[in-house]
Amino acid sequence: MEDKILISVKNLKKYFSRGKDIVHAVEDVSFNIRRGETLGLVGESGSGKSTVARLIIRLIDTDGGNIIFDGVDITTLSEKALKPFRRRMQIVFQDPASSLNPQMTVGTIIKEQFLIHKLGTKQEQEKWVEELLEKVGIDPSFKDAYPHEFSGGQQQRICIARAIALRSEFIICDEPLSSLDVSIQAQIIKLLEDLQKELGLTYLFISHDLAVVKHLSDSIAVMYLGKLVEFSNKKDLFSNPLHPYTITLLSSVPTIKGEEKEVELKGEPPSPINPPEGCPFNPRCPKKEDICERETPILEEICEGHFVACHIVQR
Amino acid sequence: MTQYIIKRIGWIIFNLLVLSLIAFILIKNVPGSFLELQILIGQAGTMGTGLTISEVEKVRGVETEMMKRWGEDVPLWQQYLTFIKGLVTLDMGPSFRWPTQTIEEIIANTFPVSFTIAILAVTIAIIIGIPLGVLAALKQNSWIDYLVSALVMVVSAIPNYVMAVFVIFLFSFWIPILPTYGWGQPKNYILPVLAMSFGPIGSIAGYMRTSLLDALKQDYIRTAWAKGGTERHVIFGHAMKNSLIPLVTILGPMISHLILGTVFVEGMFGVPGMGQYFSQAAGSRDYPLMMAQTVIFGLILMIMNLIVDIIYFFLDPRIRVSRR
Amino acid sequence: MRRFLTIILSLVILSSTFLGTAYAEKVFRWSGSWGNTWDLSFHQGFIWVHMMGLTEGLIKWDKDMNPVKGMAESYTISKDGTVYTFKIRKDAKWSNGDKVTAYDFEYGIKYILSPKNGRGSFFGGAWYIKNAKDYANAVISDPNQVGIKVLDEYTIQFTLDGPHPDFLTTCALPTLYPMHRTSIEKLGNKAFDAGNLVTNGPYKLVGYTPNVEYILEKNPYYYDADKVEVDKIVGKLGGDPFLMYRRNEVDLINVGAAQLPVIEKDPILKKELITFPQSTVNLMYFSYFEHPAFDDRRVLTALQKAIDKEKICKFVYRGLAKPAYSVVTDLIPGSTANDPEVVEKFRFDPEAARKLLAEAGYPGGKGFPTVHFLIHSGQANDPLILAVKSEWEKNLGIKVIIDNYEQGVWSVKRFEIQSEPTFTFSGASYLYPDPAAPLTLNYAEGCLVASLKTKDLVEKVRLEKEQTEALKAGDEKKASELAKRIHNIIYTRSTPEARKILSLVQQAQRTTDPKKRLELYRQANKIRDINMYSSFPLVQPMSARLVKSNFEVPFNKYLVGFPVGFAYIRTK
Ligand SMILES: Nc1ncnc2c1ncn2[C@@H]1O[C@H](COP(=O)(O)OP(=O)(O)O)[C@@H](O)[C@H]1O
Ligand SMILES: [Mg+2]
Repeated sequence: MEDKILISVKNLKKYFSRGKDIVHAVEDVSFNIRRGETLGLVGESGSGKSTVARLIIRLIDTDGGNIIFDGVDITTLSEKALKPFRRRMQIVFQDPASSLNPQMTVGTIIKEQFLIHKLGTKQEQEKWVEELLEKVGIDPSFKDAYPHEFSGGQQQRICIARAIALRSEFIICDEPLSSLDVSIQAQIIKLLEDLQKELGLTYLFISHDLAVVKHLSDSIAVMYLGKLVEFSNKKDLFSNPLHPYTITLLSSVPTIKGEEKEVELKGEPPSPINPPEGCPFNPRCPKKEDICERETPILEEICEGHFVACHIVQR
Repeated sequence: MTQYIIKRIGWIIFNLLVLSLIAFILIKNVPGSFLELQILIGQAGTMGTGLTISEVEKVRGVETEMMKRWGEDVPLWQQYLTFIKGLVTLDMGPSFRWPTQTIEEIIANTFPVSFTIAILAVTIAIIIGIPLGVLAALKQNSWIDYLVSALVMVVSAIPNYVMAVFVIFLFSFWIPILPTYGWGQPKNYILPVLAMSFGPIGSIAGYMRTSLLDALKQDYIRTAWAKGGTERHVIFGHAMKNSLIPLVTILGPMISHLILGTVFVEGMFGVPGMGQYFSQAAGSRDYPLMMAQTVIFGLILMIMNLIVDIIYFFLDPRIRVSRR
Repeated sequence: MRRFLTIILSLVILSSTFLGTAYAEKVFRWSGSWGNTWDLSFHQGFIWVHMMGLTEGLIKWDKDMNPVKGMAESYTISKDGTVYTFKIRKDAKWSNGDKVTAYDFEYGIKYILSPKNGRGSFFGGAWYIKNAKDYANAVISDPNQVGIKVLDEYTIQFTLDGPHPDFLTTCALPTLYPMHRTSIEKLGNKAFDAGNLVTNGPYKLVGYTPNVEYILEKNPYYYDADKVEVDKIVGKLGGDPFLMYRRNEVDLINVGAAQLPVIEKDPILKKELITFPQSTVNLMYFSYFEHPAFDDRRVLTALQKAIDKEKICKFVYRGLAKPAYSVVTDLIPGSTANDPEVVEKFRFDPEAARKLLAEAGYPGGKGFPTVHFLIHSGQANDPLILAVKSEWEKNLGIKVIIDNYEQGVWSVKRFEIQSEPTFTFSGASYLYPDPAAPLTLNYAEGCLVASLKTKDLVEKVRLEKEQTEALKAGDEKKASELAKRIHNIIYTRSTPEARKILSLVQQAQRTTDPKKRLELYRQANKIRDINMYSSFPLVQPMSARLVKSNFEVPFNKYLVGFPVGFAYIRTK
């Protein structure tokens, strides 16, 4: 039971049209997350992380690939058929202020899902709200306050309370810390860890910052321009990063010793509108060879549980 | 809240004083006078050959007498004080151009008409414009959206006198059920209100569309979908209310504008509103009416803003509830 | 579908006409009048509505514009033509049943004259009454000095400042109207509201919504009420007249040149169209500026001969106007507008015009100063003005600039001294068919001024401004000295022709014999038409009206084409 895969994503694709152009936002992304574990999804801004998140919770429809949740393919389920699954997965966004309807009191925001899913009596709902607020560290007496009356950290706690309200097993955190002060970030990470322990939650934790992911994740997926370039358990990835992109990312993670950066990341990421031929990273890759411009590398298992998409490494 | 309103009203009064003083100075310094223009008219009606300079000079003899009658024979500051006194005691004397009607009478007779018409037009605009905007936003980039957007552009670009002729053709000729002109019966309201509502329908629909699209992009909407909320729940429970709030801000100026800016529609359909009095006031140098116009204009605008702010206060918890 | 709509449309029209005949009441609805108050002392549109049906003077005009007895039962004129005595008819009643007396006339006329009321309607016969002008201009303050005397309740006597044979006709105009004293003294301004207004004409005012409409109903107390056919008059003050007419909401509208093509195409409308000449001349005249070219008669003649008035009438007015060669229309007795000599002198002849201009030293317009047209916003789209500009530019090679000002600013600007040659545009209307209507003494004096050389005119204006300043400063002595100098300029530097006009008019005013009088005016007109250059007559517009075929309306050519009187409207 413990090792069972809760969510599995296979060859996920998503294209957006922007005028005449097509944005290759997500291209052939596959990964699994085991129940009770955390997958950290890392990549530069614009690499398609949020799109993956939105695809998984079916906020948008896929253009290819499958999402399998607890053994059920939910990729094309109708909204009605999806409803029981919606209860089981939730999302926490980056900006808590915009995630909370300013028109509603905090209590209502949390209670709303009990109403949507027709759970409990009025009194029970009230009680649950209070319990939830307490659980995320908000004084329940503030349940009639409006979101703007809270600080950013408190607001994010409320978002988390909302996410766990239905006892969902799977929670996507899409850069939940990015808009918060560093001191608050640690508290929220702590809260997420505690909740995971207490409730056995499974997380997909998205960040553009490897350092943040390091704490929480069991395994890590690195995304570049809509594609997964490396996937591995945390330990392997940090001790033995393989993909040149991951290496550059790690080098920009400040280490306690303040070591010199090994490699510098050159230039801006190319646009997902016209992704480069061959390996998407080739224009910026320090180890680029001819083949990298011609053939697109595919994700291959190099050692056990360590996947990389790189011609050089694969050789 | 009461304290806030009292403070605001105090500001309105202060602003009105400043406004009227500036207006007074400007008005009195514009070249030309009512009398000058009347000579012009009298002349056109009788001699008008342009050779009547001596005639004109003779008429000037009456000027002093008229100045006396209009209270213009005293220094400007005294005239201004008289105006303020008249304003406070609601006794502003007769208009120059409408000599047997006092300013108060004119306003008392015409304001309710203009106001009713404006409110009706805005109501219609809201009833039609909001659903149109919502529809366009929900079906973004569909043909409905394009249709609504085109409609918004067309009705905002077409001046309301063209709309006036259009509704006359529609309801007086093609489907001849309404009179083009007249006042006194409920049916007389229909065409002017309709003609006036087109512009507002356009702006409300357009505004609604953008603000709903904006709201729909918010993360709380995404969360609501993710929670399994239905369309009705997400759009009407979450997005609508938030996108309606900014709409309130445009309603204030819109209503003020309609109350005051309906000259053409009034003239076309025979609506005895303020617009026709005011539109001719400046052109004929009818100082009392010009002053009244300025004050009324300022007053309506500021009161509308106050009302909007009060409504805002009740609608938006971010303003209503102060930070704990 | 279209057919279906037409059927419905005709059904609606049919039923409405049917309903119309089901009621006994005859209603005449029209559009074309305007006004701001029913107080007769204010010179604005509604005084003409008074004249058309609300108030009646001692004399009224019959449907052919002949002066006939109105409130007067009889009248006598003294031998020297200066004293008019009227007997008022005993059956004359106000609309509230009160009898109309000589006191009402005295009250009304003095009320209208008084500088304390209204703003005076400066026209017509009221000016002829002794001291009336001085009283109106606040020169004298005692109304008893005005030559109006009540001999008894039914007799009133006017003493004029000279013989004025046209006084009788002007008694029909609104400056010599009675007013209902008791209601005015009791109600003040409210006496002029609908329902309160007491009138003595064939109609009374029963409803009035400013800017929208007024409603008149037959005055049952009117002595001739039997002969008044239409029960109710509705005057619409706004709307789109043409649309209203086609929708059958009004029975009479004014139409302009723009609507003619539509009317021509519609057989019914075409039949209902009535056109008739108007006693109005559209003209242009000098402002104050100094330039020798404009003292040169060759230049002035060239400027006039370079305007193709025929073409303008045909294309700009679509035939709703005819060329004018005199500032006095041919509808005024004694007019020389059609005199061959006058017409020949100013007839369109671009060749001759260019020659004259060349002779004056401006061949092909070279060296000629730029001419400005000083117009106000209301004239901005007047095609006549644009046409004159293009005629001059095309035919004479001179440059014309149009300066457009807001009306109020314009009203001041036009009295200022301009730095470059400047013209303004206006219309002249004459209110009644008498040679004295245009040729007043004032006007003749104006001719003196108009004949001055441009620099003399500018000097006169400068002195007048100084005079005004002096008066304001209370310097009576300086003012009277300036007045003398002004007088001196006018009488010594004006042309002999202008002085001749003045003496002819003075002579005509003293002449009681109608034939001789007419001849004197004719002579004055001709001298003016041939020798006066500071105003250029352009066109005489015509009125065009649409009248529903079930009404017969006699029109007044002298009053911007209003109906002569509502009482004369007949139904068919
Ligand atoms: N609704 C959309 N329409 C068009 N393009 C989109 C849309 N959402 C995201 N994109 C594009 O897809 C790419 C990936 O975006 P996103 O998933 O938000 O990246 P990340 O979360 O990693 O910053 C970006 O180039 C973005 O502009
Ligand atoms: Mg993102």
